[in-house]
Amino acid sequence: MKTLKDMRPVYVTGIGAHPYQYRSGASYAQLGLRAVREALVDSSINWPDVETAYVGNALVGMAAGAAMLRYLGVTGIPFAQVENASASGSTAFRQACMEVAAGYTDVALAMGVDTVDTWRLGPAKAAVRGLADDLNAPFTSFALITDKYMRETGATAEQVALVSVKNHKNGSHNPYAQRPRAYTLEEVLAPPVISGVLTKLQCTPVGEGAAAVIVMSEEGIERHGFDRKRAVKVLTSASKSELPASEEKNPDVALTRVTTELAYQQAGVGPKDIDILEVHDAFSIEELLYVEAMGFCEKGQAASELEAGAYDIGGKVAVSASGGLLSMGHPLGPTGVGQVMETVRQLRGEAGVRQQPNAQVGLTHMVGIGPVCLVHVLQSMR
Amino acid sequence: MPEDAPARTWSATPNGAVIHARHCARCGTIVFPPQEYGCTTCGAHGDALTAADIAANGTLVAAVVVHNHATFPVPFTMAELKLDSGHVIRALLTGAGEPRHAARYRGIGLEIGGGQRLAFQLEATE
Repeated sequence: MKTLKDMRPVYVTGIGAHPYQYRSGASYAQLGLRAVREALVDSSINWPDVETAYVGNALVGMAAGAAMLRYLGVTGIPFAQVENASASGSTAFRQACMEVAAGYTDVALAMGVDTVDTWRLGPAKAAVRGLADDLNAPFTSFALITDKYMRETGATAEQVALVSVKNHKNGSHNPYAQRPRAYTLEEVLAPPVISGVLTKLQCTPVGEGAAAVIVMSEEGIERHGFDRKRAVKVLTSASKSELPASEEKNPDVALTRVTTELAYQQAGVGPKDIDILEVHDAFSIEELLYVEAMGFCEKGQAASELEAGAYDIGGKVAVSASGGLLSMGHPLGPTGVGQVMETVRQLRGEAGVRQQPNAQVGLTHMVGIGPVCLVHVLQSMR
Repeated sequence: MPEDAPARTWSATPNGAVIHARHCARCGTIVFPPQEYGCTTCGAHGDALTAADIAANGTLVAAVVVHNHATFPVPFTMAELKLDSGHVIRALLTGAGEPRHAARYRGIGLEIGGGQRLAFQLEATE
């Protein structure tokens, strides 16, 4: 079986976004076009240079991608819209990487865009009902997981909340963040309490926005004269879904472990090599669970490691330097692409006050309803 | 019953509540939630899936007070329970006092939030 390592090398050459924000009334097309135009400029190419496009979204609806991209000037290239719940953008990126790696095209657009809209969840239409699905919203599911984690590891509610303090501090320096403000521990712990120990500031704001990246082959970089040092190599794309015999009620943790191990193996790297980690921190507890599952520390150690600064910018691995889903936000379709954008910015050394010193290798991680999980590993060419 | 209506997930009986599931004749899995599409372990379907009940008894793994819900009256307490069958479920908790982790709970039918719900309460300790 082939992985990206066995195929043509692929690189991210351009990044762009529309800031994530609360519902504004803007159309998805307005948000999306700004992100694409920014990514084209960053990649020093024009829209007619793009040979294929993948648009991730979870809410906008049928044919939304095509109806937006035509306003860049119609060129006749193949379009595909990608839906994979919270991992829609990550999946669009994976498809673009695979298409370029396979040699179909040299220049691909991967983007995500969504506005605030009604969630029309597929599983609810499958006519299968659990005992209390309607009462077990994601914030309650993760509040239960938090309760269990605190009992098992001795971590305190304050330590869990520190994830949000750290990520909002990072996001306060991110012009694309939906909640770009630093909060004290007291502010994060303050009401409103949503579920269990999870307060509002420990739950991601789900808003609107867009993010876009340009993916190129060596040939594409050559043809368009792109500065090789600003290209970021995609070492691998790993993707898994629900695992057999997983009776745990937090399948995302096991799924994250398996998918990340696969990514490490394919990329030939380990947790010690990762300088930048963009993780699916929709709820504060998730960062602690996933850094353990990814091997950045032993099980039960994440809270004390975080408290000691290991996951700060400047620590052993900067986790959610963008602000993560907690501060940058989680507009669904864009989120996974936004993670790649931040990682590329860091690996180029262009992240300004958010810069992780000497960042060489970055990892992005999204989980989504399914469950599904996607992990990408990227490497600096500097 | 319309063809696409979800199967009933539980019933109250004189001996306590039971949770409805499916038994897979091919691999032995007790599939929950109940459905006719296929076994989530091995994919067997049709006659391979037959009705099976799970006793609504188990131990409390985790519990939280929920303060945010669009339609259901808040606050309410949700729990994760490990049933004696080995299944891990999420369900409502009822009864006075703080939730007791690792204590035994049993399911009862409860009229709440405008409908009948399966809720779990602390087993009587004699």
